[in-house]
Amino acid sequence: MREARNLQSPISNLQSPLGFLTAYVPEELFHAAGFTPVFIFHTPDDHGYARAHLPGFTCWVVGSALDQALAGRLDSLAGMALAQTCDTVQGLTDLWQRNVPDIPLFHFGMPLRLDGPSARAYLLAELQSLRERVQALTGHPIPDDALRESIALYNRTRALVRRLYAHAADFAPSDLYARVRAAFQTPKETCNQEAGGKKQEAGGRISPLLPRSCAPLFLLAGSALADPVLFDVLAQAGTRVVGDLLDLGERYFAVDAAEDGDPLEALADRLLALVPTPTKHHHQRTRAAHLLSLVRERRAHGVIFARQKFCKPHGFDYVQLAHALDRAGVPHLLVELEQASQVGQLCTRVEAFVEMLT
Amino acid sequence: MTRYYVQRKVMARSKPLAYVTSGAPVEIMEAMGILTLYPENYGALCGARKVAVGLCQVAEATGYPADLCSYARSHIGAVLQPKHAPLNGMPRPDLLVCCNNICGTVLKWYEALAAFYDVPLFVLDVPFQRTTPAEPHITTYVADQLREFVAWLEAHTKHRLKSNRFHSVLARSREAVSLWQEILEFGQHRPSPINAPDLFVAMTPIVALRGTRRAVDCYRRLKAELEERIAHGIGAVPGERYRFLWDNIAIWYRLYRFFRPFMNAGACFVADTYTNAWTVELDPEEPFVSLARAYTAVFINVDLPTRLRTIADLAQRFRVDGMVMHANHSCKPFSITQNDVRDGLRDELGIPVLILEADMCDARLYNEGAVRERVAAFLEML
Amino acid sequence: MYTAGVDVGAITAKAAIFGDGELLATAIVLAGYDRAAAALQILDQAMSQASLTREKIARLVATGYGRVQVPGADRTVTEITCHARGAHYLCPDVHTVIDIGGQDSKGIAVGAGGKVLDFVMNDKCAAGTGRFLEVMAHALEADLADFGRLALSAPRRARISSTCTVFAESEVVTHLAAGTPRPEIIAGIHDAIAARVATMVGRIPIQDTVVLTGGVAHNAGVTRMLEEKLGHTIFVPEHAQLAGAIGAALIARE
Repeated sequence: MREARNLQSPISNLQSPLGFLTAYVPEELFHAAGFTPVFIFHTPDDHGYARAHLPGFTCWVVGSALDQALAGRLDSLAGMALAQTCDTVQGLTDLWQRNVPDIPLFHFGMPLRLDGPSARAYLLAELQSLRERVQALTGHPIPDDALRESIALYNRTRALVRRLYAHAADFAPSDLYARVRAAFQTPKETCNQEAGGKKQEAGGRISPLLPRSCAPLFLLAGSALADPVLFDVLAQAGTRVVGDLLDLGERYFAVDAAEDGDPLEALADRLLALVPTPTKHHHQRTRAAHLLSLVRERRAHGVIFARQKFCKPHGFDYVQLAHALDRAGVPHLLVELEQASQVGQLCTRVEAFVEMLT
Repeated sequence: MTRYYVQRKVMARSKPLAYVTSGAPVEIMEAMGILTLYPENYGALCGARKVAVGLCQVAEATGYPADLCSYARSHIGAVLQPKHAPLNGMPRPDLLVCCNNICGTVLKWYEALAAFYDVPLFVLDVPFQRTTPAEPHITTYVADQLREFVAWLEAHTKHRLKSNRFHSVLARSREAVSLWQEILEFGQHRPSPINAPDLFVAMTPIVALRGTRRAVDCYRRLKAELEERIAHGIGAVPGERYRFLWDNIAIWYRLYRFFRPFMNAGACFVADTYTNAWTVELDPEEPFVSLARAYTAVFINVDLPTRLRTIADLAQRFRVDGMVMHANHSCKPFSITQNDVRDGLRDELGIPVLILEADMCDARLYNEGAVRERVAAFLEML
Repeated sequence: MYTAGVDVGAITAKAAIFGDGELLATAIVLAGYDRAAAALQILDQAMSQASLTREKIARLVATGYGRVQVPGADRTVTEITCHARGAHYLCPDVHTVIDIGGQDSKGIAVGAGGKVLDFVMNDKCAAGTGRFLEVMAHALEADLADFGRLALSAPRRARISSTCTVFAESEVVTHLAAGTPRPEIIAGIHDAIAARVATMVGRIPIQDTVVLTGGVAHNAGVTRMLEEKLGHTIFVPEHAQLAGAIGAALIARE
C-alpha cells in the first residue's frame, strides 16, 4: 500500500507539469511537446474558493480542481487541459480562463459523436488545432516523430495497466486503484520502469470474516477513481474488484494508438475506439452491452455504481445500465459520492450488498 | 398551448412526428413536412401547471436521481405514466432529434427516450464555441452533419427536402426571428411595454413554431399591439420605477406570482437572457453553413466573455438598474457561470445583482420564505 | 443456546436475547454519544431481564450505525440484513420492510426466510427520518409521543414542499405566522415524511405483507399516510423498534 502511494509524484517535482481533467485529453500530444501530463484528482479538502464561482449543485470532481487552483496548490502547472465532455467541464473552461489566467488553459473539443465520417474529420482538425495552440505556447513545433515516440511510451504504460487489471482479483481494491491512480500522476517513463521491473505483488488485508476464496467479485462503474474512502470500504468489506467501467479505469487503458502512420490519426482512432463514457454517443456501441460482457467474462457477482452527486451524465447512465443488469439478473448497488463521502454510510451499503449476495 | 398539442396529436396521424430539442435546426424538418414537438416545452407546461413534482417522482421511483434536469424527469415521468400527465402525455414519436447546443443532458434524455420508444435517434453534435466567431472547422463539422441529417430524415420518412420550400421556410424563420428581436428591443422604452413573464408566455412560437407562417403572423400582431402601447405611453408595469434584467429559464410554477413583489414596487423586467436565446440571425447565403453558424452561436453555447458582453450590452442599452439571476438547479449551462457574470456586471457597470437558487420545474427546490426575504432586501437596497 | 443481538443506532440502542428460538428479553435505551457504553448498558438490561450472565450468551451479533463499537461482538452485520430477519420473525409473511429510524430510512425487499433480495436507503438527508419529526415537534412545541395522533385529527394537511428539513422548518414557521391551525401543520409534516419515504420505497417492488420497523413505526400518522401513498396495508408489529436487534440475535444462532 505504502509502496503504491509513493508512486505518485508531487506536481512540483515534475517537469513542465500539464494538469488535466476528463478521459478524453490526448495526453501524448502534450507529452510530445515536453509537458508531463498529470491528472488533477479531487481531494476531500475544500478551501472555500470553488464555491465563490461554481454553484453548489455542481460535482466536486470539477469543483476540487478549481478550488485547488485558486488556493495556489497548482501553481507549478505549466498548463491545464480540458476535453469537451459534460456541461460542468465546459463551465470550468470558462471559469478557469477568467479566474486562473496564469495557468494557460487548453480546451480540446472532443466530439460528442463517435460515429460518422464527419466526426472523425472534425476530430482530426481539432487535434491539429490543439497541436498549433500548444506549439504557439511553447514556441517550438511538435514533430510527428516526437508524437510517435510519446505514443509508444504511453502504449507501454497502457499495457502494464492492462496486466494489472488481468490480476485485479489478487489485490485489495484500495491497492489496485492506488496503482491505477499512480499511472495518471507519475511520469510515464518512471511508471513504466517501476511497474515493469517488479513482480505484481498481491497485497492488502482482506476482512478476516471472509476467506479469500469466498471474496465476492465486483465490477465498478461510474466516474470515481479518486475517492480512497470508497476503495478502503470495498477492501474492508472483503470484496475484490475484477474489472471496471470507470471513465478513467480499465477502458482508458484498453486501446493502444498506432505507432506508425500519421500520429494524429492514431490518436483520433484511439479516442474513437474507446468504450464511450456517458457524455459520448455511438449509435451502435453501448455501454450496457460492454458492461454485460464484462460481467460474464470476469464472472462478477455484481456491479457497484459509484456516482458523484450532481453528475448528470452518470445519473442518466446509471438508469440505463441498471435496467440492463436487471434484465440479465445481475445484482447491483448504487452509492453516491460527494466532497466528503461518509465512511459509515458507504460501509453499510456495501456490507449489506455483500450480505445480500452471500 | 392545449390547442397546439391537440392539433399535433391529430396531425401526427398522417405525418411523421419527431421530438426535437429546443436548439435543433427545425427549419429543415418544417421544410420537409415533418411534425415537431418539444419535450422541453412539455416540461415547462408541466411546471406551469404545477404537476411537475409528481411526474418527477415517477421518474425518480425508477432510479433517476433527483438532481437531474427537471424537464427530463417530468417528461420521463409523463412517458412512464401518461395517465397522470397533462393532456395524457405527448403523442408517440416516430423519430428523435437531439442537438446539444443547449446542453449535454439532452443527449442522455434522448438516449433514454430512444431506448423506451425504440425509434431512430439523430444526434447533432454542435461543439462548444470557445471563441467567437466560431473556428472554421467547427462550422464545417456542423454543416456536414446537417447534410447528413437531411439524408437521415429522407431515409426514415420518405419525405424529401425541396430547395424552394427550404428557402421559403428559412425566409419565414428569418422573419419570425427578426420580428421577435424587434419585440424584445421594445423593452428599451420608458416605460417598457413588455415585462419578462409576458415574454416567457409569448416565446412559444419562436421556440416551437419557427419557420411557420403562424409564428410570423403571431409576432406581427404582437408587435403592432406593443407599438400601440408605446404610442400611448402604456407600460407593462404601472408606475415603472425600476428596470431589471432577468437571467436563466423562467420559474414556471411561479410564473406571475414571483414577479408580483417586483411589480408592486414598480419594477419591470425589461430584458432577459432566456428569450434572447432565439435571436440568432440566418444569413441568406449557403443555407447549411448559415444554419450551422446560427445554431452554434446560441447564447448558452458561446464563451463567457461573449456572454458577458451580450449581457452588459443589454444592461446598458435597456438602462437597467439591477439584475436578478435564477440559479436554476436544472440548467448547468445557464447557471454555472452566474457568480462570475454577477462580479463582472458589478465591477464593470456597478449594477447590483441578486442570485436566487431555485429550479425551473421542481417546486421542492423553491424556498418561498428565503426568496421573499432576499427579494425584499434587494428592493430596499435600490 | 442463548444468543444476543445489539442494535446501536443514531438515537437509541436496542438489545434482544433469544434462547432456543424463543425471544426472552428486549430492551431500549437512548444511545447518547458513547456508543460502546450504551451497548454494554443495553445488553446488561436485557440479560438481567432474562436472568442471564454474559458467559451464558454463546454469541453476540452487533448491528446498526455504531456496530463496530460494540465490545465483545462476535460478528457485525448491517441493519439491512438484520431488519429483514427480525421483521420476518415478527411477521413470517413479510415481503417488504420499511424501516424509518432516527437518521435514516430504508426499504427492503424480503424473500423466503427473511433473506434480503434488494434494498434502498436514504441516509444523506434528515427529511424522511425520525430526526425530521423531532425537529418539527420542537418547532411546534408539541409532544413527539402525541404527534401522530394530532396529525390524524386534522381535516386538512398544510402544504410543506421543501425536501430539506431546515427549509421545511422555516415553512412551518411561515404557516404558524399565517395562522394555519397547528393540527393541519402537523398533518402536513406527516404527509411530507410519508411522501419522502414512499418515493424512496417505490424503487423496490412493494409486496404484501408490508411491515414497518424502526422507532417511527409507532407514529400512527406516518403509518396511515404511508399506507395511503403506497396503496398497501402496513403491519406494525409490537416490537417494531426492536426488529434490528431481534434479527441480529437470530443471525447469531446461525
